[in-house]
Amino acid sequence: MPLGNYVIFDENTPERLHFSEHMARVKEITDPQTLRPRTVNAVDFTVDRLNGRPVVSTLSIIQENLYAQIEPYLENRQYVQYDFIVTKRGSGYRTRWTVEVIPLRPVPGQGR
Amino acid sequence: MARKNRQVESRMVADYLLKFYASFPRLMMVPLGGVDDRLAQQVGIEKALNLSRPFRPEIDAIVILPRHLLLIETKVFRIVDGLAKLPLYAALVPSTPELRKYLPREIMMQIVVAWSNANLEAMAAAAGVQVIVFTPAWLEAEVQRYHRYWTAEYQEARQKRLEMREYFGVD
Repeated sequence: MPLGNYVIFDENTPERLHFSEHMARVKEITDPQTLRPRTVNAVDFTVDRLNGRPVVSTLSIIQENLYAQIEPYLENRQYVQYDFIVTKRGSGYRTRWTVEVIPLRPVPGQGR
Repeated sequence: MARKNRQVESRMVADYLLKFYASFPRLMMVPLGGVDDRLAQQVGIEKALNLSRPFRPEIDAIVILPRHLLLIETKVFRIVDGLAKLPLYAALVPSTPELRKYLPREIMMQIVVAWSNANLEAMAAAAGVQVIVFTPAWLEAEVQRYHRYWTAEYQEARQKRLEMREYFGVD
């Protein structure tokens, strides 16, 4: 059984995530394209629910394209009010991310 | 997180949705259009989705409203491109497998821009698209930079910068 400490995406397979905490950090990775070590900025999210099941896992985001879609929810940890369904499409430098944001309860006074 | 490149429009659409549509489910960066049935049967739906990527344009966002799908394109640059795409994207919604569970719903369209003008408003009205001007504080600097780009002062400074980069051999 895999330990599941980190959330790993298969292409075109949506994963439904709920975040409880986040932390920005600098980390060392091996670039999968060049196979050379690189230092990157990352934002790590603590995932406490994955596809509806309670887990203790981490989503580590280093992709600008994915981060930009979640960044507004960092202020005041607004992400706790939502589930995020993240789908990875493609691979390598051409990876794209589709993010579906599901409110867990109506937000009073918002929406049109 | 420090930005190495500018995902300005991705951030802009995420910000816009959170501010105005926080109560509704919404999707960002959604591929549109169908996947060939024969291809899906031959190679499986996962691989067929991958092979179809070049032929499936991507819309910035879709909000799932009770009776409507709201299609949104956000543009800071090349605004007319975004406006022109929206009615064409709408034509692909019924054949998009990822949206099947949300259909049938009527389509509404918005182009979200950092600034507008009378010509844009006229074209949008003719295309049935609503123009929304949305300029959060963090976007102001990008807008200013874009407007400065066309001034003689900026072009002169840019030319000097390029010459210096060439002189020092910086890529």
